[in-house]
Amino acid sequence: MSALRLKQLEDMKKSMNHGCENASKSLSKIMEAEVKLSVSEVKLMKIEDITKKLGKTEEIMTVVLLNLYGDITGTTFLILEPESALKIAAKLTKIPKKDIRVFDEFDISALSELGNITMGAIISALSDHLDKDISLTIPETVTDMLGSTVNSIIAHVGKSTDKILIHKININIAGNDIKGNLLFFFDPKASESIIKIKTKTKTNAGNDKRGNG
Amino acid sequence: MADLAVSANQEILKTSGVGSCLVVTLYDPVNKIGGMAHAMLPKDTTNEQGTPESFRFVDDAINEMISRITEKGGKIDNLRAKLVGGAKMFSLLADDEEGIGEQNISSAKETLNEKGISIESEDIGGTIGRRVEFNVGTGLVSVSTKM
Repeated sequence: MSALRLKQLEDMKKSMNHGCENASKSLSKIMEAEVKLSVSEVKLMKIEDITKKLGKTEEIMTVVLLNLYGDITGTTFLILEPESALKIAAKLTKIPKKDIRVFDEFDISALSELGNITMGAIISALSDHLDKDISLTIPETVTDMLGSTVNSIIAHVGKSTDKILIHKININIAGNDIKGNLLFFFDPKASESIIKIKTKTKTNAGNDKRGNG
Repeated sequence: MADLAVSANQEILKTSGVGSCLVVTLYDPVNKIGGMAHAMLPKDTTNEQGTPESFRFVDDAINEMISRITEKGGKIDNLRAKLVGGAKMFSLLADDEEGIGEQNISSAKETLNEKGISIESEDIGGTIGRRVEFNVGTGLVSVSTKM
């Protein structure tokens, strides 16, 4: 992990952004509004500093969580204000919400679908890019204090490390005043593996170039 | 998170966003000295002491609190503990039989038992987050949730 260089982080960002473009297209169609996802940050962070970067620990947020498994492991989760989550659910289920504070099973199902579409597209792009098998579990949605949810995720991923490689993706849905964050936490071994693959790919590409020239 | 505080000044210590993390309070009611730690992982397997900036492990945090309380004039024989947190916020994260929350609780009980400190009360487990306030003047701990 210490060998992680700025250039390598930028490469990972590009690959994630490709997935974001695909996810944006799919979601824009379903939501009938312009949805924009873009990687805002790729950073190696101390585990104690992550939650405060995402907001106030006591703030109530809705978190849609999926685990990554296969060749690359980790966790990915979407953080939305509950009001935004319900607006999205209303849009996806086409059922208007009377009470903006209550989630029903249709909302949970819609938010799970949102997680599947968004994370699925990004993971698919990353999987193609790295030529590695990466799969997602079914989503789980929890609404509680930001600190309670995110710290629990950090504790899970950060069991054996001081720092976690974080990909932060901004979500903007035009005309709906909806903003959210999507995060990918790769397990330390998975991050090292991604870097190794990237480095190897680059070396091969360089050799090919010389061979052809 | 991954932090602790000790006071002899009848202050109110607060922490929030407690999910699978565990909050441990220690109180010497005779000398009115107390401490609160908000730790995230059960045991330090590195054999290194926690740093003043970070007390991520339950066992390190308890040991450091005991040391700071006794430095301020508290007595280990007087200490009583209270535990809050150790929830299972996501079932997806409990990949083994015990989630991190359960492991944090077990680690605290083991460490306190080794030190001979009894647990006076606890609000542990479950599936929701908690906010904790510890009144060092009275020893009272209040827990609130936002569901």
